[in-house]
Amino acid sequence: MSDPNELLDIHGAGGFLNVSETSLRRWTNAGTLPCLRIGRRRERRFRRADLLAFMEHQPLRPTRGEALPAIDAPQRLVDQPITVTQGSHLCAFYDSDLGRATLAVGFLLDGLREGSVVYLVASARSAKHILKYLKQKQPSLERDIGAGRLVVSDYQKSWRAQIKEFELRLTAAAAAGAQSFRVFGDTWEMRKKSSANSFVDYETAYDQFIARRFPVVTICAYDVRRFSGRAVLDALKAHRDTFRYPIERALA
Amino acid sequence: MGLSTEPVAAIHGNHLCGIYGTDAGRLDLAVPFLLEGLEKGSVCFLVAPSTVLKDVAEAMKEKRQSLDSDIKAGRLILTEHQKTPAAQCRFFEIAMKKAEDEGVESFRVVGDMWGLRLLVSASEMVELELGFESLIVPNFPVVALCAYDARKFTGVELLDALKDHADTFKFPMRMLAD
Repeated sequence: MSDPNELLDIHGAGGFLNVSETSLRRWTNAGTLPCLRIGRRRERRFRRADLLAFMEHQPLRPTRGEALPAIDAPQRLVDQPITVTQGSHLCAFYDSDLGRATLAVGFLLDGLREGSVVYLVASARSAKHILKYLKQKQPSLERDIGAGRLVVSDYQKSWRAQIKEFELRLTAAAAAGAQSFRVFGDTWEMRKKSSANSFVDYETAYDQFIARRFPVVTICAYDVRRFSGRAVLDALKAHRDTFRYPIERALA
Repeated sequence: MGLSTEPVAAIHGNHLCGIYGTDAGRLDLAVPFLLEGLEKGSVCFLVAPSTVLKDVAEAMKEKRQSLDSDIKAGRLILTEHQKTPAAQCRFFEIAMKKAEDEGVESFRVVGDMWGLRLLVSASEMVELELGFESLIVPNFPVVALCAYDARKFTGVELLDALKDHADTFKFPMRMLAD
């Protein structure tokens, strides 16, 4: 059995928790993860027991038999509702699958609770991962899906087809009495199907034909493991509403 | 695009990140921020590689004729990055303490972060940001702008930068440049 007092260096501790050294530095500086400092360079050493205690206090623990989800920040699936103006077209950024779930769950949950029809547009694999966490917070999830209050779909093959799809779906739902909508889109899936320029066209068309025409709040979620720094800057410029949204709901 | 000279409504203690995608965008971020600091009587630091120091100083000179005397009098300090995050924080501590003892009441800092990234790893960059946030921001009347070149930094590094500069979301539109 491992000695709980064994000291790991930052590389070993990162491997133990399956997180980056950057996250460890941030958590120790914030005081949420204890560490010892040794030597003239004050290098960090971590007790195995402290790492285990830290891991156990993460909000998203795996159920028995599952692998530990990749925790790359001490995040919370936030329960407090956030008021967002209809028509807001926001971007958000994540660097882990858990980060994506964190962004999506809070946002979609707010929508369901306020009575909006909510759309999750993502690959089947990503949607499954998000829904697993959403169900923990919304036990009636299957009924919501059955009743069309939560619509899960993959992206269409082209950005034009995707815009058309949104128009048709939102128009039909509004005609059926829906008063408001939320859309969470995992944008890498659309980027994979289009060139960089076409992707910009998609964002522009979405803003013009969907975000400004329907009572909808939208989050375009960007996976920074895939998108370049330049793309992050372009996304921020194209989603100026983002800066009216709480930062902890936009970065994960 | 011409350089904006509109004031930035920043307050002491703001630790902001700016993101730019062109050399002109870097000037758009740095020049008005530093000029405003000089106008307000702040001591201003620009920490960047030598070529960037030269470009920014030349652009500032077009807007402020007294720039050479500002540099000579120590009101504008142009310097390259120290070799480690700890040394960089120590540099700011010593320089700001000395300036405060001489009666200076406020500071502005622009750091062109790619210059530091060339010297240290991505995780050590975070070390500097956290050190600045805990050692400099609470202890000195400073407004700091860490400028990130989107052409050089990865998406993951920019997300880290945004997470480490929560103040940025209070002043977003002045913090993004072409």
